Amino acid sequence: MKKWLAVFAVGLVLSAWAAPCFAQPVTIVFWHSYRGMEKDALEEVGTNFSKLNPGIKIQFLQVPFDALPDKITAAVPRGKGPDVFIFGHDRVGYWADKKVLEPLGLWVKKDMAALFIPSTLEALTYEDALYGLPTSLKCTALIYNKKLIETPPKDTAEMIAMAKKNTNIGQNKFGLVYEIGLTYYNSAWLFGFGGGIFDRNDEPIVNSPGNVRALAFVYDLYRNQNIMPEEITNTLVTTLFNRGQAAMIISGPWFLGEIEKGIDFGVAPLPMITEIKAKPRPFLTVEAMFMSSQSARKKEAFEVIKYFTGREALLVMAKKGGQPVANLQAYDDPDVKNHPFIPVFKLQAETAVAMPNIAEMMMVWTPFDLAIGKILNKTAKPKEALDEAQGKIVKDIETFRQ
Amino acid sequence: MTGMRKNAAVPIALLAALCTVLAGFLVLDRAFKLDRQLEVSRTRAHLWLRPLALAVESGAGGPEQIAALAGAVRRADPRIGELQVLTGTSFLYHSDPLKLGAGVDPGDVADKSLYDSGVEIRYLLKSARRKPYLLDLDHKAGTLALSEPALKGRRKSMGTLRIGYGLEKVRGAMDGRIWVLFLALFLAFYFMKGKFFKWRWPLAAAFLLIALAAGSLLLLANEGRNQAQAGAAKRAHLAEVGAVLAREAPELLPVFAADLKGGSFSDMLSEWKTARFVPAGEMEDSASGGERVTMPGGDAIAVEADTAAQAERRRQSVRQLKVVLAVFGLLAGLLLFFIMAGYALRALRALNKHRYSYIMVFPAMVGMIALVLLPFLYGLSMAFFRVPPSQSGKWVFVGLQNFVKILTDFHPLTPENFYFILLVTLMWTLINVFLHVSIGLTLAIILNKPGFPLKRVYRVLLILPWAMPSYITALIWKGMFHKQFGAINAFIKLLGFEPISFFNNFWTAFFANVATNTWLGFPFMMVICLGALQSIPTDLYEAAQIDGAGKWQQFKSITMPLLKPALFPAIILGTIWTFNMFNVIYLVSNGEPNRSTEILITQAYRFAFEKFNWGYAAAYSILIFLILLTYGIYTNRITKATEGVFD
Repeated sequence: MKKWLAVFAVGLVLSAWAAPCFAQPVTIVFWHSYRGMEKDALEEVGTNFSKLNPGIKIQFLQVPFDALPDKITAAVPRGKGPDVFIFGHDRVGYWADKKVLEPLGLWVKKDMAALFIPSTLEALTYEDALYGLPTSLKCTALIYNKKLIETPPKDTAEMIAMAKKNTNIGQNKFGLVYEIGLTYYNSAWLFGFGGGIFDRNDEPIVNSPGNVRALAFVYDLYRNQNIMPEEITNTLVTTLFNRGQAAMIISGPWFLGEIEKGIDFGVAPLPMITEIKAKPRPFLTVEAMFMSSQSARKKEAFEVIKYFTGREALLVMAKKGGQPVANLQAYDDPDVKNHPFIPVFKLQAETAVAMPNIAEMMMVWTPFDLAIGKILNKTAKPKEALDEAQGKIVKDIETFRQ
Repeated sequence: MTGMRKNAAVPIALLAALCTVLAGFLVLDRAFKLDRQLEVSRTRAHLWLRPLALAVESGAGGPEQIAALAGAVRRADPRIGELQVLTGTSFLYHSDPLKLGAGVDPGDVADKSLYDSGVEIRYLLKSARRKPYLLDLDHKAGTLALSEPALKGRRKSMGTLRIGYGLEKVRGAMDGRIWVLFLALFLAFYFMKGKFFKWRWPLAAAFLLIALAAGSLLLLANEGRNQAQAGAAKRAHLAEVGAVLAREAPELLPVFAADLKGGSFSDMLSEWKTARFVPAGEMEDSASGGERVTMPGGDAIAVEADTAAQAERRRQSVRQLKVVLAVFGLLAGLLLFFIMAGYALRALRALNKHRYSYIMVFPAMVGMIALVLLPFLYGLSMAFFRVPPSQSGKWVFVGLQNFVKILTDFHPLTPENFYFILLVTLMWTLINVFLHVSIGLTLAIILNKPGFPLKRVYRVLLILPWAMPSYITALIWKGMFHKQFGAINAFIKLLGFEPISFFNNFWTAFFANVATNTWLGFPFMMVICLGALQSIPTDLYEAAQIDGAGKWQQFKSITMPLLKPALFPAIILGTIWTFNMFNVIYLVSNGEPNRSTEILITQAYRFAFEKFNWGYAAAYSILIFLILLTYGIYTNRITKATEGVFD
């Protein structure tokens, strides 16, 4: 027994001594919050990358979507956390202020930047510096049940007419379902009617006439047309659509994974707004690769970012992960070009408005949601509710900026 | 014996107090010296950088001349460690000859850091409130690194410059006088104590005060001298920089002189109020009280000291001194009292006597301090500051302002009003606890009946709501209150009534919250009551029956008094839990309609994590804590809940 132990110990010492003789691959820690198909696709890209770059090893860590931003905010300033990660662009301003992100301007040359949809790079720019490279686009579009809707509506009048045909409140069947109480899902109408959140100088313009008109339109959809259920939550949207009780919903690519096998669905751009003959303009969220400012292996980290935002990688993410990718080169591929929904989201993204990436945006959500709630519950007219929200937001932002 | 000990304690006490005060003075003296040295070094580094920045700004002479000037600057002062001038992504000058004229290499950490400084400076310039330079101090290595922009207008950066500069060593700790003074004070006291033993308290206090006053005067005198020296050093340096300029780029001298007043860099150059270029031969009337710094060619720069800035600096020193006096003076006084009154000795004896006990609880104490006390103190201190949410900036002390803001917001009963939320919270707590206790007690009495059929099954079933994670329960209940699809509205419709939108009206939304929380809360009370009921000896009831007591009389005179010791602590605990029941409010009504069903704790959460108003939220939490603390102490005194039943 003792003999064996001695041999074992000698073996350990020898192997420890021998280890440095082999080149150790550099490990890049990569955080993401993908699940299902997207996760599989991402890992396949990782494998492809490792084949091409034997010197760099990627260590993936899946962090739940709600927890990821806080974890990044908490971990990176303490020198912990990932080298690179994927997240939406809307936190760029906050993270740049907190010195969490590495500015990438130095690495990204002009010819490389030209490969991406320009609005996506703008979304990732804060105070003149570029902080990330886009991978995919997320914005809302019209998702419909092909059994109930043959051709998607061209304008909102047609959408309402189709929805009415498919509504039977007694049987819990509804023509149109979306999370109408949330600012995010109404953004298409807000910007479509010419409203907005911030002006050019980053001052809030929540009570602009466009927003008032848009919310009057939303109120009409909800209260007068009788095509929607009450108290709509995320779960309700999913349940109704999966049971075939919702003909049309407004949601984004993240919803597609929730749709059950048996449902034959189609994706179409949001219909033109009949009243003013304008296209709806939803919020655009750009998912992007970011580098931690505390990474000790920035050169290798950028190699990873470069590969994961390149054509090869994004083709896998599009075909296998079903992502509407941001790299224009990927759309040359016939499979992507003829994909049932990726080009639709790209088309919608072209009219979409990048969600403000300044930290002040965080002050907007709650008061704006509350204003929508008041309007829909008939406790206030759109103008009053938005004036009140504007007042609150201005006050909060003032405190915030002090 | 005791008398001797007391005698020994007296000089020890004064010695400890004097040492404390002395330590405070030494710390402050060093801080003063470091400040002045840093001020001078910073100005020197800045004055070397400015002509180069001006050259980049004017663009005159082209890159070669800028590089030549930079080379001359670097040779002129051996304390300059590194010097870099970056425009775009290439270096106009780099103190490392290999880098001259090269582009930035992203893989090179040093290169990259200057580029990043440029990005950051551009960002600082955009947000006009912040100073457009970066100062990195490395006291260990004895260097500072200053990065500044070359400016176009006030807010546009054309390039980034950086200088690494060696710091001088700060020598010695105060002059000898203070040591002599303190030693003299101690000795005088030591030899007096025998005769004046009954005067020991006023004497010790007087000696301590003398030490504080004399030390302060000495310190301020030193600081005045330091400041005068710093001023002289800056003027001398101006001449040094002027000399290099006169030799290398005389055309920059007037611009340089005009630039001295600062602009964006005013806080770096607080030394001078006005600065003017005086060409050789022109006479300057010296009536303004200014000074002239003459360059080799005969040109001069006339500067006038900024007396307001100097006065401000002196005031700042006095402020710092006051803080040190307050903190260390108080500490010294406490030490003096603690030792002289004999508490120190007693504490030492107690520690020694129970040393095993203290060793045993030591790890737990460390844990409590780290996990409970420190976060609590952090939150407590946060309540007195305005904590910047967006930047890693400084906390601004605002005193009681956060509390005043919360408590004086009498905006008529809107849901944002503290008193409104307090009212809702109190109502919420009261109704809930009442329902928990009454339902829990009733069920416990029923289940405690001997021979009750299927008792065990019921017990398990009734504890289930408590055993389920409250998140899941809360979400299920929220679903049940849905207007079209919820079970409760389905039942209402079955009865032939119109369905209710529960979350559109304060009372119905409040009801939904209460229903959920009652479901979650009664099993705890039931378990407590059941346990207490089973511990009541049955012979008490038998005796009562023999005496002819009825059921109600038995309940009132036997059950209730004997339940009390178990029930009251449970009620206090339940009250505190309900008062802070975040989950139910957040998940069920989420404050709807229009934030009216919030309770204090959810509102504090919203201030912190939706408005990022940390100081305000901290003040809110402290108020919650105070309310619960008062409640806890008060009820404990009245009910004697924490006392044992047989005490």
